[in-house]
Amino acid sequence: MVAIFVVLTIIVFLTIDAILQKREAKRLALAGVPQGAAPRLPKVRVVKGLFYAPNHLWMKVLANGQAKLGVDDFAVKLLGRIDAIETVEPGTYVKKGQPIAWLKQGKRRLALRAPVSGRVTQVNRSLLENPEQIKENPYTRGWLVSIEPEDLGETAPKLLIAERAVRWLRREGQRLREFLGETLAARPDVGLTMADGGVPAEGVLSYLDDQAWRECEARFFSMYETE
Amino acid sequence: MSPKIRIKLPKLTFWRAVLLVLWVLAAYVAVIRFTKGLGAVTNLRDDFPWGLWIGFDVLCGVALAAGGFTIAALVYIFDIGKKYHSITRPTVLTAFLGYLLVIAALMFDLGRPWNIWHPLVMWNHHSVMFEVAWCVMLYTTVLALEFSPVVFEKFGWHLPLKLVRSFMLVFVVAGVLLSTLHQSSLGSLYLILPEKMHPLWYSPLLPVLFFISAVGVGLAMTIFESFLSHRAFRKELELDVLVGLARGVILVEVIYLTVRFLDMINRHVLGYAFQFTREAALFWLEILLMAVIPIVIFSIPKLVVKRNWLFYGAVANVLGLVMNRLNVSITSLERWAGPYFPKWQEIVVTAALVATGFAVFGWVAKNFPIFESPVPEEPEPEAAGSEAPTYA
Amino acid sequence: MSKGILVDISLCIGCESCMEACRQKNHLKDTGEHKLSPNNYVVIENLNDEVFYRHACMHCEEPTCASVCPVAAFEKTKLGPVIWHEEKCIGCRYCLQACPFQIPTYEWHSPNPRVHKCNMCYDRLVEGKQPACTEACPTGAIKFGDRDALIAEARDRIRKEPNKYVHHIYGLKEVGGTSVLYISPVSFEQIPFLAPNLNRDEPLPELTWRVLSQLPNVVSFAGVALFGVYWIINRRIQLQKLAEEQEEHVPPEEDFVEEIPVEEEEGAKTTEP
Ligand code: SF4
Ligand code: SF4
Repeated sequence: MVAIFVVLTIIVFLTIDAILQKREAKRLALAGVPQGAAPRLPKVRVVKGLFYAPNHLWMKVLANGQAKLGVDDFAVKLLGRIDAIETVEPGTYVKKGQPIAWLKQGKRRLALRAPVSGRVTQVNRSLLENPEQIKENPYTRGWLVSIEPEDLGETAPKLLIAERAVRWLRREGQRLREFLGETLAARPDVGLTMADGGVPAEGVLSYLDDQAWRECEARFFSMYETE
Repeated sequence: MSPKIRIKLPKLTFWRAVLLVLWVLAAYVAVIRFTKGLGAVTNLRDDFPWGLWIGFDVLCGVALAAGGFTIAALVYIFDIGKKYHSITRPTVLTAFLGYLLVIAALMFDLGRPWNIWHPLVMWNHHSVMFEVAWCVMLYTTVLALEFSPVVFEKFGWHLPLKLVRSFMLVFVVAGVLLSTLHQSSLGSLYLILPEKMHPLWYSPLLPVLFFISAVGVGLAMTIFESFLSHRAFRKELELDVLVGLARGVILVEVIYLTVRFLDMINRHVLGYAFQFTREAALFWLEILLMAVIPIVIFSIPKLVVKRNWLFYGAVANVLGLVMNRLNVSITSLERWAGPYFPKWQEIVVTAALVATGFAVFGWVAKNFPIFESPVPEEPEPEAAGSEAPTYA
Repeated sequence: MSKGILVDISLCIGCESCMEACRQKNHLKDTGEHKLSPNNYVVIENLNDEVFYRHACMHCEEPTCASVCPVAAFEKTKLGPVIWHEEKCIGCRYCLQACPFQIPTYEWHSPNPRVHKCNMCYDRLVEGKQPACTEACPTGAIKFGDRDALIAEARDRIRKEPNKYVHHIYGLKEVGGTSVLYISPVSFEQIPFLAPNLNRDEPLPELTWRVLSQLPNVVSFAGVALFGVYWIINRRIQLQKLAEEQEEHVPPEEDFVEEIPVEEEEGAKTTEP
């Protein structure tokens, strides 16, 4: 009898759980949120000869000591939709860790912080006018600003380049997966979409709420903030 | 990079409400139990001294934690494909929590739990219980060590991480040995009751049967868990891994059925299974759930690749195992000692412990990297000191 | 010299003097209930208003209770009695579960519970006295003495009155022998607590010892086997790796990171001020 009782109890609990899950799924489906399994990440492009800062800016050092800065493909893929891009004005002096550009998606802004200190010499006007360009190739026409760095000798060795950059990006992929897993577990109502179910694999952040956006900014783009 | 554990005030979902209620009730039961004695909260009596807490919490708890050693053995020793690596951590975690819960249950069940350390110094190597006690203690330690890399990784403690990793093989072998010993000795516990137990369950082969069924349910539990965590954490379900496990279940259960029935035939007790008795009914239900249904589901190629069916098969096996342990520990004795049914207090404590296990698993899964394959062992740029990029 | 008690069921008149003596000696309450309990170490059961028999610890020669107890709280003394050491007990109740005669009882309603059973008045035995119950028995139905002498006496009684007794001394061989011996005018099959183990001459602890004694073998064999398997498999894998390394290394298909070519210096020209 005890055996039957225990087995039935377990079955009852599993059934309740299944029903709860079904109802939740239905609710989400009504709200128009597609359901999916674990996030499948989009491919992220990398150019091996660039320096990468841990907050996903790349830097190309020119022969004359100037450097071009841009945002890497990881960030681009993460955001998916980029409605506008802002940068500081040419001539501005930025310290390492200060924002140098912003990617905007609707009302949200993602600050990109400078990995080096220096004076901004030029900004990519054509990109500001046509922000969608960045998606095409963030490493060429998608550059953001030129800067005349003053501490390049010190900072550059701390950046990642070549096989290290590739390894680092792979780990960032892991971290992203982790982050999304948690976000989804904590707030199933957010409803993440990139998944098995033929949902677009790019632009995860555009499906997430503001809280997730902030969290993501803190985890992946704020490395220099506190310096 | 020093990731912190984030504790937010959780939303009150249905299950959290259930957990809360259970905790309150269990706390009440605990107070009564430790002031008024076991009799006040259990239906145990002199001729039925072991009830639900031993039959379910301990016997089933230990068996359902068998995934820990089955998978560890598969991955580390037999090295059956890299693909199983991803499930070692969740299974080790489950096993570890399982054992902690068993110990927690014992704190309720033992008449004098404050003496629980006595087997350490007061030896009686003739006692199966003595062996079980030692194995549980040692294996819980081993499981903690097996799981410790996850914690070290999380907090970036590289020295202990290296240390533990270099001894991992020893831990795994020790873990497999200890599990083998005491999974089977839980069966041996009952060897000494030849006259009291129903012949459908009493067998000199009890230790062997307990061991085989524990291996089987270890695999099935892994499927079961992986399904649940897939739903709860959206961790992708590696279908080929699970199908492999399902094949393992078939193999193990076929062996189990063979041993069990051959043994019954040799002891001339098969006849009891064909009488119109409660015992016979429960016996067949047990066999059906534990072995027949999973074997059938898992050997139909169309079904075994469907997640739902994988889950049903695994659940059947788990339920069958639960039935088996309860049949051995309770049903088989009722003929001799009269009926036993747990008081609500016993049920509440059991439910609270199980629920706590689920909750802790959820919390650990959220805050520790248990679903990743172990990080490669080469030093990472971050770990390399001066040349590391600056993270805040 | 091992002591014992001979119970002659034919002589028992059901007066329960032994129960009373036991209660007084052990300071137990008379609760009025008629079964073994923390207040009754011995009970006289009424079989059919003519036959009465004693239900109490048999003081087995190889006590199951002592064998199963994880902390060795039970001790078979040289004198014969099986006694319990309270300070060791962890309360697992395996002794209750395992005793073939269902003797130990438990304080279910105490926060610091004890196991209770007859200890054959071990303290009195040490002083050279006999147990309280045998002293109180008016008919000699329970008789204290050296076990060997009691066996001889039991044989003698059966031989003298072969029609009165069943020709069997219960406890001579049962479960490996017991310090308490029974002779009876009715078949032992009829006595519930004795019947199950009638003629089971093997001590119950043998059943578990048979398995437990194999453990060292199992551990050493399995340990060696596991390490061996690990070694063999790993060597194979190492060899495989070596072979693979000699071939061209192909990057994994599903890499998260994808390397792309860049048009060299395209940016450099347009960005120079
Ligand atoms: S009769 Fe039971 S309690 Fe008494 S010595 Fe034998 S096993 Fe122990
Ligand atoms: S209840 Fe006490 S005396 Fe009985 S077996 Fe357990 S520890 Fe030993």
